[in-house]
Amino acid sequence: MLARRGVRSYLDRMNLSLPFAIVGGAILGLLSSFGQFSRFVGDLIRALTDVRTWGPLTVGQMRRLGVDSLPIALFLSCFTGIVLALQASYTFTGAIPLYFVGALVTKTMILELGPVLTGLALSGRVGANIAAELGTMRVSEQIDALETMAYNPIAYLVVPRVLAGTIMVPLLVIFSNVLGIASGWITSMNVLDMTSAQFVRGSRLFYDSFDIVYCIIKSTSFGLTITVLGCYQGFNTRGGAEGVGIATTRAVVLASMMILVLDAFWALVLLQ
Amino acid sequence: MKWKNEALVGLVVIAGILTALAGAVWLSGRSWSGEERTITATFRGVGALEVGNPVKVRGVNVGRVTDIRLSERGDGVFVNMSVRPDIVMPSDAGVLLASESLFGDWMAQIVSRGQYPDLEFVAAQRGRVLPGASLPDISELTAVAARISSDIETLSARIQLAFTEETALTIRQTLENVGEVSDQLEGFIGQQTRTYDAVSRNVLGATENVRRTTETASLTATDIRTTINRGDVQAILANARRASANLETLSSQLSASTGGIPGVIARVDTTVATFGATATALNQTISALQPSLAEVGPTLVEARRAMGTLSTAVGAIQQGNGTLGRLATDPALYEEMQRAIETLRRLMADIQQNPAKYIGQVQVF
Amino acid sequence: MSIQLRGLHKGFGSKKILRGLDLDVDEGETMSLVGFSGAGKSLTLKHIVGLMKPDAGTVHVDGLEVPTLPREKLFKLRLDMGYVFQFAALFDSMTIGENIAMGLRKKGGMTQAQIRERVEESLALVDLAGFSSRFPQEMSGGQQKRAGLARAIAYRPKYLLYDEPTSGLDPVTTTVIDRLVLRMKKELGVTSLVITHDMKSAYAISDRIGMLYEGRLVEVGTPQEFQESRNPIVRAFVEGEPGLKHDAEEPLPMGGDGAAGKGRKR
Repeated sequence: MLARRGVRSYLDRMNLSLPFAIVGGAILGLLSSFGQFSRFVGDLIRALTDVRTWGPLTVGQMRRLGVDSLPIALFLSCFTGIVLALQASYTFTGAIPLYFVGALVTKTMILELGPVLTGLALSGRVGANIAAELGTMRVSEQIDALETMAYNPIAYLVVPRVLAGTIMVPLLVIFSNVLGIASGWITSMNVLDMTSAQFVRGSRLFYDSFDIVYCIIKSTSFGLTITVLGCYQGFNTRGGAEGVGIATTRAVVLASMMILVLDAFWALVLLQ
Repeated sequence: MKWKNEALVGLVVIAGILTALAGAVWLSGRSWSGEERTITATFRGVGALEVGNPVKVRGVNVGRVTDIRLSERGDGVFVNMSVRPDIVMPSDAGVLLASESLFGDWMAQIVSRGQYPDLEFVAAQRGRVLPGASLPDISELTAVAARISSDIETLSARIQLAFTEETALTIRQTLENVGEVSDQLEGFIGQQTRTYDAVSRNVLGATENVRRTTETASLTATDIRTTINRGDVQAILANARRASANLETLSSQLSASTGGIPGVIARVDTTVATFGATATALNQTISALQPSLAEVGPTLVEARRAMGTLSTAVGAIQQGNGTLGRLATDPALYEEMQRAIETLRRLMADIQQNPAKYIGQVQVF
Repeated sequence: MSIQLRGLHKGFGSKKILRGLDLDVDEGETMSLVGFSGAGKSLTLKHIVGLMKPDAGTVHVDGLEVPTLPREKLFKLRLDMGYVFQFAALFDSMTIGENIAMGLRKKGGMTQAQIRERVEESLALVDLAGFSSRFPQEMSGGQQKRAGLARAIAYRPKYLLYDEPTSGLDPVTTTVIDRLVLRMKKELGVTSLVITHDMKSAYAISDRIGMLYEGRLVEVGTPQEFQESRNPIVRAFVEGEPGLKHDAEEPLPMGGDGAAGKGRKR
């Protein structure tokens, strides 16, 4: 809006500095938001020393953000496993041995779909929840109230959520993987006419112990990203209910995007 | 209320960690119990065996290979295997390495050496080290085919120079050689067959027929010695030469194909197709022609050739680690092979059932 | 032992709110700050408690310079200050009792039983005895406001900063609050700064009243002096005369004044 208004007035005056102003403005905006985010992360790291504030609250957040997200994560992975098994058998027509279904389900679930789908679902559930909650606290001055009572709001509100997310998301992903593979297994046995032994053989065929490490690294980074972005957006909410809405949307969109970017990043860094 | 929260979170965290560990162990196929027994065996060479390959007793998975290392003097290989502590070892236990599947994965089998009298187990120099042997790669068997071909060629050259009673004796000896070699071949393939699927069973069937044919042929040779008919000898000579030439081409093809793995499957394909056509043609020819001694030579050679081709096919599959995917995606190749084997079978059955049709004429001598 | 603002400047972007504000609140005094909406009254309070950093100027509380105070010392200072938020700003995930206990816990030195006792005592002071296990959303706006006040006074601060404590309350409750402000001063010797629109209330509780206009204090005086002031701005404000130009009511970033709080979800 500002730019458009700027364009019109500048065009009228044929001011040639306009393109520079736009580029400069964009860069400054980017730098300032990056700076703000870095400061937030810095505060977050510093607040980690305030164990007495965040310590007792972390378990509650682990329950709220982690344990209570278990149903959605499991629901998602259950169906993913079924679909994976069916699509694998559909793809492996003809002479490719059927037990490759087991290999595909297991490998895909652990390496990609378990972490990413759970991450995306949680960026909706957890990220939005955090952004909306902290955003509401911000606009209703509850965060200011915390500060006036000498609480460090980062230690009190952000650290427990970030820690809870970082710890719980990998665990949720592990449960998702197990259920996804199990549902793929059951589907293979009941729908695809495979034996249990075939599925297990396929599962073990390409398994590498690094797979699980990779999965945990990846999902930990997802948990961290979702919660940090949710907290950051919530913490910097401005202006009423609308602001809370904007913060929530932004938290979800950014977290989802970052999950996909991180997904590619880890694949490049760890699987090359 | 507060306690309940903590208990629930703790439960989920612990369950998650345990699940991850259990999953990792389960997926890697390791044993659950920590109790393991390590056995060591020594070999001259270990083929394609790798750490992590299964250890089996009578086909049952009992452990895995944990370490492969060269002996201090470099003249052998020690293989450590971690196995279930409760397995009962045969009194004359030995470890036999063989391929486990068409993927080219190998396995170590704990066997009783008495069951494999024809295999040479490397004696253990130290106590508690089991003697071991590894089965030859099927591709090695093709070398035998090449030797046979050169034998026959030499033979036919000699026959042409001077066909005397002496040479007839040589023919007989050679044919006996052939019989021996094919017995040997059968032995090898028989051992391989325990680990292969249907394809190998067909190979075994074919080999069995080859052996019988060879016996018949050696009988024929005895007749040749007693009765020398100049006119028929010419025919024998011509056929023998042609057959050996065929065989030689085949062996050179084989050695060429085993050289470059990418080409292997294509080569096997054409070879098998050629063979299928040849066998069919042969079958027709044999039933159409007046049966004569002349046919015995080509039949024998073709049969051997068939066997050689099949061995190569299997060998190539085994050599080309993972080429099974390509073999499997080309059902035509597989069917061709099956058809070829079928034709061969019919031919052999015919020879067996009506030897007179092929051999009858010989009795006239 | 007092609050002292000197040449305070604060702006957001091109919008300058405070333009050289000087303000003194002496020890044991109750001062009211009046002014039009958006004049920067709440912003002034936030500077005193250290939630905002000034663009220029100094803020001294208890002889300490708030904007440059290290975190630990600032937190310690804050426990000497009670802040009554305009819309209570109660933590809605906690009961009223837990809300009030927050400050007490942070201050430390009290047993659980003592904390519970103090919570009930504070609630009784604002006529909310027995409300400690209620959640904020189960209470009316006025009740929430009083609970917010109870939270601020519970840990016995030396300074009390009230952000419109009586706005939106019925006349009877307003009187209760006014009396409470006076009582805190009398019994605990609290130094108070009250932001208000309500002149009646301001006259009742204040030792001095200050008028904030265009980022500066344009008039300071006792209620008596204020009522008799000849300053046209003061007259217009006291009598509710429209026509005076005052700063537009655009919401501030950081939810500084009214607009942000109104959008709170309940």
